[in-house]
Amino acid sequence: MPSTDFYPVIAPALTGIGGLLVLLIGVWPRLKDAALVAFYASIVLLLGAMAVLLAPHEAAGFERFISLDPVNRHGWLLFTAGGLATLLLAWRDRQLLGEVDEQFCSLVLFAVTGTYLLSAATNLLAAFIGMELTALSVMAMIAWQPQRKGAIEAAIKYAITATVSGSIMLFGIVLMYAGSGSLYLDAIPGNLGGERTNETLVIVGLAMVLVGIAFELAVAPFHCWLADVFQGSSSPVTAFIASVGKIAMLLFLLNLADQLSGLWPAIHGVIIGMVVLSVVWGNLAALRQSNLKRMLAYSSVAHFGYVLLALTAISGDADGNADLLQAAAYYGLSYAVMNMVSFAVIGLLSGINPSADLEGYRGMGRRYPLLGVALAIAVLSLAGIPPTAGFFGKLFVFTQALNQGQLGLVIIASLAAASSLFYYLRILVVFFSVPSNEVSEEADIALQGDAVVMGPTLVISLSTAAVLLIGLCAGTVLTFI
Amino acid sequence: MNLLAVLFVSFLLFAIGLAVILVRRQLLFVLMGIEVMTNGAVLAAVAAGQYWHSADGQVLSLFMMLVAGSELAITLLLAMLSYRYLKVSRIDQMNQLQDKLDKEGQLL
Repeated sequence: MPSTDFYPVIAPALTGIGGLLVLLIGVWPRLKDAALVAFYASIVLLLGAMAVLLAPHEAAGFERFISLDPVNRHGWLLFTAGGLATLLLAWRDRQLLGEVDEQFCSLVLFAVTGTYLLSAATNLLAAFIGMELTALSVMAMIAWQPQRKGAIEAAIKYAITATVSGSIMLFGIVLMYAGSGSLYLDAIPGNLGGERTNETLVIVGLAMVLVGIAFELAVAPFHCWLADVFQGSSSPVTAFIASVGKIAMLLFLLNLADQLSGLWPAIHGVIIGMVVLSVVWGNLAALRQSNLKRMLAYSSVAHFGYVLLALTAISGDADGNADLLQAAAYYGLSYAVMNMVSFAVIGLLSGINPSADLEGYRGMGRRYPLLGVALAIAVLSLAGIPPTAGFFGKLFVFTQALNQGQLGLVIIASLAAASSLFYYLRILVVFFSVPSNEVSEEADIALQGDAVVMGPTLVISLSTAAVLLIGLCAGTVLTFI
Repeated sequence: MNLLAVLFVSFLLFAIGLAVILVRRQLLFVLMGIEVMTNGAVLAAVAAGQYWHSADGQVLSLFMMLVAGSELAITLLLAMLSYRYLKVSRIDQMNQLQDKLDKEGQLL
């Protein structure tokens, strides 16, 4: 009889049912103002965060489907915060103006529900459902306001990639089930070695699941969709993909590596290949981008290469597994907050520079000093300059990988990280150089009302503070994860 | 029942679906290819469930059909939107977004 605690289902149930309720409220006949809907959606998310906070601290599982342990708890809080930030950013976003209605809010809620399921899955079926729930909601959110240039194209590119990667992952899950006779992650290693089991099938299945995850994380060579999707979708949605969707996938991958550490050495080769390709190709391709969103997309490829570096040394008998996974989770957390800042800044400036071409940002850091400082902190953190979160993320991952004897990989990754400094500094040079043209009055953020700027400003200041705090208190944060 | 034989057939379905996605340029055919891939996985799941004498495989296949249906609903909607706004139904004509590299000397 599996242990049944109801704590882990409260938050997903709240956000899932809340999403449906928000849809219902939207069709209420006398409702004229969509602001109320966004307000209700935020309340639902806050209630979800409360449910996570109030749940008891020890790990609790629900029907061997999902389990809420200390790592997931913080993951869930991060996803809730990410969902709230997306709502705040989208509310008065230039590209989505007038289009954020009850459907958009409920899609955000459904996507957050999916990330809850995915990151806490102890059952491969739960992981699959969570992944698809997130991917389907995000798919629809990318196409929001279809008249925008590239919106539909980005949505179709994401849809094809996500469904194909979903199918590959699905086939992998089925092969793992066929080989081991169980969908429960914790039962698979124990089942192996039995009479009717087949270890080869499980390993092939695990490799296919890994390929599916790599598609979703956009690790090279499965990264081709990422830059187009980032460029084509509106900034709040991009922020959601980068800071919430990918991190949920990463947490599931870490969970997988933890549970199946005995089988992990069989797929080390695949992961090492992905790490080398990602850090080298991601950074090289980012060097020559002229669009800020595309540049951040390729830098994201490189960042997930660094994260996977921690997974190249997982094996059944090593004692360092917990440290490696902790370092990777810390990197994921810091990546989420730094990207939230950058995309919030891009979104706030989208009235002035809708295409996000780097040239259009010339002098923006001088015109809006606070935005400039926030972006500078985020970009320096992405580049890995101390004392920001990004520096400690790289430090932990590289040290742990070195402890496990991955000297060659760490050298490649460090050289790639050094070369990444060129394009990160290019962003800062453009932001703080002398402005070349005047901003038209209607696009000037400083002249717009508080309602327009308040949400993004809140998100930007909170996440910038988080980048610094997570970096300065790295030791404390690491013990929490 | 020979599990590996059924798995081989389902892998064949999966590979055919993947080939359709990679070769065809019409968006609707790509979506069909995705369905064929999913069906390959469904067949394998049912076979594995029979092999282990448990309902897990069939539950898994039910969820797969559900997800495949919802995927299709959204992707068909996107195909319709693409025809309405872009007048395009081939994926090789969707090329608004691509890597446009800097010209030399314009780096800063």
